[in-house]
Amino acid sequence: MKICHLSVLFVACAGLVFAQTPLLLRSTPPAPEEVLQALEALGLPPEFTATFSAALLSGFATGRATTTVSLLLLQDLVKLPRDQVLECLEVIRYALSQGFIVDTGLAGSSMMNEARKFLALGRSGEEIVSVLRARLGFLLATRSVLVRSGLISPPVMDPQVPATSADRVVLELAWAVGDFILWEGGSPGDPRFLGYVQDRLNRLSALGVCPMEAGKIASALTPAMLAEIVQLAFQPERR
Amino acid sequence: MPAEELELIQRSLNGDLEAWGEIVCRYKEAVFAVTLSILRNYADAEDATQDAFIRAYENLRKYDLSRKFSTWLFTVAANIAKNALRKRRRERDPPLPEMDGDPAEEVHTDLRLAAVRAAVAALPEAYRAPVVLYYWHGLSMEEIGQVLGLPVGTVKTRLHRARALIRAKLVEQGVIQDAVG
Amino acid sequence: MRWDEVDELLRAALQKEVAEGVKRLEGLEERVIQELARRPARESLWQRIREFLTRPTPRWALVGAMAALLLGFALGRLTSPSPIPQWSPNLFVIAAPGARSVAVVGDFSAWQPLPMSDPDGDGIWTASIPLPPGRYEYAFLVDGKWIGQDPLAEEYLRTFGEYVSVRYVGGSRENLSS
Repeated sequence: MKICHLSVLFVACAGLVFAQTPLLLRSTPPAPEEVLQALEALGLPPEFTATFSAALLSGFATGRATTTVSLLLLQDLVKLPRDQVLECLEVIRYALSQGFIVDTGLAGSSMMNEARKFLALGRSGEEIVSVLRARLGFLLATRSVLVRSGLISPPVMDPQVPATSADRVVLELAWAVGDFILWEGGSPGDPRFLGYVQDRLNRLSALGVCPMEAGKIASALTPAMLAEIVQLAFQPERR
Repeated sequence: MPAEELELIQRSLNGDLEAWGEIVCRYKEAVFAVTLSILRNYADAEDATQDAFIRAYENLRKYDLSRKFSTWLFTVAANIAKNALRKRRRERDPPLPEMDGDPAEEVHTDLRLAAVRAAVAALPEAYRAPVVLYYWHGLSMEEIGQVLGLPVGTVKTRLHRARALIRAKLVEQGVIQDAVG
Repeated sequence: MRWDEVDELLRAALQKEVAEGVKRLEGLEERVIQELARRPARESLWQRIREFLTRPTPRWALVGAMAALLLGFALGRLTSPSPIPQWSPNLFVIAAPGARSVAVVGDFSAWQPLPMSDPDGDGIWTASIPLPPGRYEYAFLVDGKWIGQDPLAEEYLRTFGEYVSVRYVGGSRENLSS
C-alpha cells in the first residue's frame, strides 16, 4: 500500500518541476496583456478595473511601473479580502495619477514591491493598506516640500509624460523618510534623521540608481524640511 | 525572560496544564485590559480573555522563545478581541451596556477620573487600544505596533491624537485648565 | 496644567476601569484548565502525515495524487523565480545545518523564494544572484521560517516585528532599467 503514496510524492514532484519549467525559461518580462488578465481575474467592479488598467498601462509606458512586479502583485492579491484589494489598488492608482513611480522593478523598494514583501510576510490586508497610504503620504509631502524649497520644478501632472530624474529623487527621499519614521522608530526631531536620509541619497547617487542631483538635494536638506515632510505626510489637509 | 517563566512555558509545552494555569494567573489581568480596550464590555472581554489563553496554549509551539512572551500573548488576545468585535458587529447586537459605574457614586469618588474614562470611551475605536497598551501596560511604541499589527509611526500618531482629543475634552469640561505643557 | 497631569489621570482612570472588572476573572485559571482538559489532544501535523503514510487506502491515494498534482502546479507557479537582469553576480550565504529547504527572498525577486543550495551538505547554503547596482532588502527562508538578519548585511529594518536585511550592490554608474 505504501507504494501508492510513494507515487503521490513522485507525481507531486513531477508536477512541481513541470509547472516551474515555463517560467524558468521565461527571459522576457510579461506582456501588459497578461497583467491586465490578472487584473480582470480579481473580479473587481468593471469601472475600477478599466480605470486601473488605464493607469497601469500609462505607468508601464512612462517607467512608473513594470509588468513583472505588477503581475506578481496582482496574482498575490487574491489572498486578501476584496475590499482591501480595492483599497490597495486605489492607493496605487492615485499615486500613478499624481505622477509618482510606484514600482522600480526588481531593483529597489517601492509601493508594489513593498506590498509584495508584506504579503510574503503574511501581513493582513488592513496593515498593507495602512502602509501604502503612509507611503503615499510621504510621497506627496516630499514632493510638496522639495517644490516649495525650489529644489525641484513643479511636476507636470500628466500621466503620459515619462518619469523624470526628479521623480526618482522624490521616490528615494520619500522612502528613506518613511523607513526612518515607520520602521526605525524615529521621530521628526530625532538628531539622526538628517544623516540617515542624506546617507541613503548619497549612496544611491554614488551607485547610479539616483541621478546626480540627488546628492545636491541631499546636502540642501535641513532638519526643518524633514520635520515638515513628516508633518505634511500625516496631515493631508495642509499639503 | 525570567528563568521561572521560561520553565512554566516549557512545562506547558509538554502538556502540563497546571503550569499553564500559573501563566493564566500571572497574565489574566493584563490580557483582560487588552481585550477590554478593544471590546469595551466586561462580559465580552471576560470571554475573550478566556479564549485568548486557550488559543495561546494551543498555539504555544508557534511562540518564538526569543520574543517577549507578554507581547506575543497580547497579540493573540488582541486578535481574538478584534474578531469578537467583528462578529458582534455582524450580529448587530443591541448597544453595549454603559461601562462606567454608577454616576452618583462617581461624583463622590473621583469626578475627574470619571471624566477621563468617558473621554477614553468616546475615542474612535482605533485609538483606544493603543492608549490602554501605553498607559495601562506601559508598552513601548514598538511593542504596541507588534501587538496591534500597526507601523510604529501609526501608533505614535494615534497616541498623539488620542491624547490631544482627551485633553480637549477635559478642558471643555473644565476638568483641567487650558494650558500647553 | 502640564501634559504630565493628563497622562497621570489617564493611567489612573484606566487602572480603575480594569480593576472594576477584574473580579470577573476569579477562577479563570480553573476554567481555562478545564476547557483545555476537555478538548481532545491535538495531533501535530507531522503525526497526522505519518499516520496517513503508514495507513493508506488506494482510493485516498488516487485523490491524494490528484491533489498533489494540483498543489505541485500551484506551488510551481508561486515559487518560480522571475527573470533576473544579467548584471554582476552577488552571493547570498546562510549557515543552516540540518535544514531541508533554504531560499532567499528580496526586492530582486519581488519577494518570491529563490532556492539556495548546499551541494556538499556542510550546512552552508548559497545562491549567486546577478544583481544590478542598487539597494536591496532581503531575508532568508529556512524551512519556511523567516530569517531577516543576515550577518553580512549592511543594515537591518524592522517591519511589523520582523527584520529584513539590506545590502547595497555595485558601484558603477550604469543606468538602471527594469
